[in-house]
Amino acid sequence: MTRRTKYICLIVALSAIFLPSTALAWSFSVSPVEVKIDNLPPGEEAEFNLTIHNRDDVSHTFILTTHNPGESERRQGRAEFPDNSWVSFPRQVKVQANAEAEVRVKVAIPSQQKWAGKDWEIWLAVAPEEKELLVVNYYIRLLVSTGEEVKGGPNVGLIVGIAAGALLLGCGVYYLRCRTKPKHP
Amino acid sequence: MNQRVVIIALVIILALVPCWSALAVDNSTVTITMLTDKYVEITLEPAEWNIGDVEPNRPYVTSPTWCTVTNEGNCVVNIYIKGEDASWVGGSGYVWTLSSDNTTAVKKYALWYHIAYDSADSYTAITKIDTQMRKTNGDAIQLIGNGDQKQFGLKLLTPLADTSTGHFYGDRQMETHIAISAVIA
Repeated sequence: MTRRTKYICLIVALSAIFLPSTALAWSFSVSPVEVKIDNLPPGEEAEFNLTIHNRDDVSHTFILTTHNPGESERRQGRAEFPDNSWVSFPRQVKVQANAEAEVRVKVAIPSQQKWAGKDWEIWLAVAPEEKELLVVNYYIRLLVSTGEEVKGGPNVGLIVGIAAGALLLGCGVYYLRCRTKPKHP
Repeated sequence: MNQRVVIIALVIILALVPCWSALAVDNSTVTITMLTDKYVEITLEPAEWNIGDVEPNRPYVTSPTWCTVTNEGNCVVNIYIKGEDASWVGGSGYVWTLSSDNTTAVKKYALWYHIAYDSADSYTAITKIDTQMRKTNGDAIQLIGNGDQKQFGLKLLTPLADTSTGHFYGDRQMETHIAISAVIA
């Protein structure tokens, strides 16, 4: 009997309350749902705006992050985005009641030849800061294709051009000097 | 003399041609395409599950139609689900780790979801990895927009009793969140 009572006490003592935080309500939308950047040369950057529409009667703060989708979730032919830090935006945005806020998103690819001619996909996540047990989260597909040309780094074409020009100039000067040199009998 | 000047000028022009052609190779145009007329918006009703006091190692189940996900946006979306560890509200360091293998243990709990009108008792584990919601037959949950709805229920299995330290772990309010995400299909 004593053992049975002890067991029941233990169970009651171990009980916990599995509850969400205080009751909240929110409704919001995000546009656009997909952004495609084409021919972005490594070394350059592109910018666009996301619009968060808070349809609630009170202001809310929204958290923005990035997410790398799995291969089966990406668009066909898209590889994983190499570095999430290349996409920059404000981490938090406060949107007034029944209002919209625009969020500037910048994509900057480092100036390296190895990033040329690539097709990547990354998702931008937008979620409210306040949370109930269930939380709504939106993903925006960001499709980035890089150009073949690399900007900002050493311009190989220019260097070769200058070298070829200097060589031609040198040959020209040498030819002129040879022509004008007096001929001795 | 005049002939020399003309020849020098020609040589200089000839030498500069490769440089100009190298500088002229800059015809890249970055294009950004956005579906600005599309927006993503889903609602969850309800978003709370007030279980109350729970006991160790016990299952708690909602109705299979407990939560309704409604696509209020104007594009077809795929729905994802992700859980997290439950933490002690007002305390620190005491967590229930979300199971990734359908099993529970001390301080380890499990969550499942069930799509309404799917095979009876067919529950799919909710893990900390964002996973597309699917029926038992593998069909992905997709909402076509403009009010399209799906319903689902939850099941919780609480951790085993924690007697290792000799402390009571009762009367603690545990909090967790389940992210329901939408992304354009």
